[in-house]
Amino acid sequence: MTTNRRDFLRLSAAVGLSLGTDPTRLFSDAIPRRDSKKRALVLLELNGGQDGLNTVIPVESATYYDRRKKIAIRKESAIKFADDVYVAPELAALEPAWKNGRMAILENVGYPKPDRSHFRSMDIWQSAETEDTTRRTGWLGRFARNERERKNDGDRPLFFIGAGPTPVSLTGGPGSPVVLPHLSALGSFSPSESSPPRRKTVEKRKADLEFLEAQSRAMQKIAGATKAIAARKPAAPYPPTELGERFSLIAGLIACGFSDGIFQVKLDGFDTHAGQKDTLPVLQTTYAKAVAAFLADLEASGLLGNVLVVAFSEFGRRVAENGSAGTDHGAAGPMFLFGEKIVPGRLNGACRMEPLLDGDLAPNVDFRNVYVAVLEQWFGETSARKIVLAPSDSSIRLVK
Amino acid sequence: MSRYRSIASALEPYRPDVDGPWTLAEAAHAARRIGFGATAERVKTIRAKGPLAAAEFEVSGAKKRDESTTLEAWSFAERAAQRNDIETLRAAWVNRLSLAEFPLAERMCLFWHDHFATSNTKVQSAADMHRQNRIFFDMGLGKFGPMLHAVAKDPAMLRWLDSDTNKKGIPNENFARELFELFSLGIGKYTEADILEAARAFTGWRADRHVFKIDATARDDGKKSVFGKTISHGEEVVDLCLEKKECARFIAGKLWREFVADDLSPDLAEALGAEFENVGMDIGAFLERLFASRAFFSADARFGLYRSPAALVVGAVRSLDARGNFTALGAAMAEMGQELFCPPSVKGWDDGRAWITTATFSARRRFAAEVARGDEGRFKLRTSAKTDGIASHLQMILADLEDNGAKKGESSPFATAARILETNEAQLF
Repeated sequence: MTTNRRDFLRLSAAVGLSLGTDPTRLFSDAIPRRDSKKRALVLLELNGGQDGLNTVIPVESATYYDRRKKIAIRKESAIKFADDVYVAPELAALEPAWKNGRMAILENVGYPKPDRSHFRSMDIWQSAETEDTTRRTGWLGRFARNERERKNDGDRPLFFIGAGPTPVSLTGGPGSPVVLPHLSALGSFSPSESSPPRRKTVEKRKADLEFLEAQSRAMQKIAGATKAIAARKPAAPYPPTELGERFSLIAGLIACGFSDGIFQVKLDGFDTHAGQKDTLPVLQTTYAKAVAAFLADLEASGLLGNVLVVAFSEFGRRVAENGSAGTDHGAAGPMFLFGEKIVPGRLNGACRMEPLLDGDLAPNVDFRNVYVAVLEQWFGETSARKIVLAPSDSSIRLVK
Repeated sequence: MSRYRSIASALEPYRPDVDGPWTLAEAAHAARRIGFGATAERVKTIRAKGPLAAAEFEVSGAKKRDESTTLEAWSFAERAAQRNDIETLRAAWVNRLSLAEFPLAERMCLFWHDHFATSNTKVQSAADMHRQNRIFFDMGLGKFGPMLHAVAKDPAMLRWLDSDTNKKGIPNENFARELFELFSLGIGKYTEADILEAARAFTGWRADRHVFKIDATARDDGKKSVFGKTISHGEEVVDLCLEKKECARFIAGKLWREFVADDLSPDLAEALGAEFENVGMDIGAFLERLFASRAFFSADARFGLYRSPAALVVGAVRSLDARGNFTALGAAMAEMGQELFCPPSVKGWDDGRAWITTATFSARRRFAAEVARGDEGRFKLRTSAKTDGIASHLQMILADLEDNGAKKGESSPFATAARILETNEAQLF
């Protein structure tokens, strides 16, 4: 760690959320020019509110051990990534990524006036809008739209690799995102050949019918690539989990023509209100192994330099455990980044346990500043602050 | 809202030939919204009755909870519950939805399953899921209050939101939060302190062999302050929710979105809440008013909602007057994004455009292709509906299309239905 980075840590711990002038600007030089068409982004959604404190363990915090008598992870059970970085044993699969400088941790990420509703908070994270507007669009959808208008060289493909509705992050883009729980989900799609039947109320439902038609166009987008993806052999083995399969599919898409894609993938189940020692470790193992395999596959395929992985959750959990040996909804939590081009390590020091905000971790990095950094430093987007509406002009250096 | 002359007039009875026409098309709209679909004969019955009498007919029929056409399905469900067989329980419900004489009872059962969204992925008990389902079927058209009380003590719910481990000391907030946010008031109508205090009032609530009881050793006996009032029991928290104006407003607005239109102005939300309070939060009475209203038959309402997978599948089966393999039909719904008894979260299924993605639209087209195969296909569909006239009925009830009759080579009602079901238009209803 350089002296400068140490300064960064010390200073950023002091800056809080809304400083007009930010010391970290020292580190964000002019935005380097990148071939953003060969850069992919993977957004890993840890749904339900990840318990950051039982993931990256604050082994030096008396508060942590005092308030979590049943569920705290002892220092001797944790895995030591570095002198001051201890993580849950289930993150073992990520140790090589950490040691090779391919993993970064941002602590205390959140936003002012944290909302403890899963659904509102997830909407806030994915839209990057903290105001309660009924028609939210996603930060990545808006980025893709802006990019198309600016460059006019085709749409950046957006994918949700999972089941369920299109995530908010990907909405508001040009065209429709491709939603794909597994490769065969679109079947042998072919556009309908017969002429469409005459409609009675075209005008009234025009926007809806256009939205429906956009789905067919999105399906056609990947129809040509499915064979190549199915035939691709991953260069490293994936764990036999649904998430592992989905990361493998993302690698396939990146390798077979979608090297500029934005992919969202999600793991459910982090709402650990009760008995979390039985549930959280399983989830941690699941994503640690899937991400580790993904990084290994990309590296062996020579693609790792083209991919950035960002993991987030809608909130962290309360510092104190509850009577059910679980934790209730909290405020700030950690974000993780993975890739070859990232600034590795602990980007803003150890988790700040004091002062607490109604018993929860207080945010000291606004997630919207993380998004701005991703758009500017990874994709070379020059109007990132307009797309994300970050609350201040503080910058975080995430990409080398 | 300009499209009704006033907010009050939106809820006034629709007068045929004064407010607009009253043809088979309007009757088909009512049949679609009330029961996901109907036979040509039922649509004619609705037309003959007129909007007011038709609304009364459908609501009062459903309130009787007539099980004569679904006896077999109910007995399948009972057996599935005993054997902890969730797949058969699901099939039995699809069967009930498809064959109930008055479909509104089952449609409301589904509406409340979505509202009080509880998933068997955590509950892990077909018996408890069935017991909860029975609450929705039995109470879903009655007054909202008794149902909310019943759900709060329902074993599946106790498990689902961790009430069953909530004890004094550091209470578990899970149920208290969702009771406020999702089940009765809507987000932001309470404080974090209200949640903490309410959670204390629900300590000790347990299920003992599928029956509610209070574990005195886990119960916090102290006074609690919720919404500025001092209470001690969980039941009082439920009552405090029911007394709040926001509750009537929240539930009435949700019913409006389910049955009338996706958008709702603050003024109209207020008026709907007042109306729901006027009828004593009686769901059936409120719906009867909605189903006969000008707003319900307005051009803005027609084909303005997205069909859920349940609406698509059940609508097709009911419109074709078909029987088939209900297990396979339930699985098809799951592929389209709606696995009954396993909603994705406590918020239930996201509706509207969220139903449609490349993956789910592909699944909808595969569903249509299987419908086309009739008895030969995965769903083993059979019908006694006559081919004659069915094309125009299906055009009318499944999609907003010109009636251009059966196409050449369409020898079965199923082929006609499939051709309509895969269109963009048929995703709206």
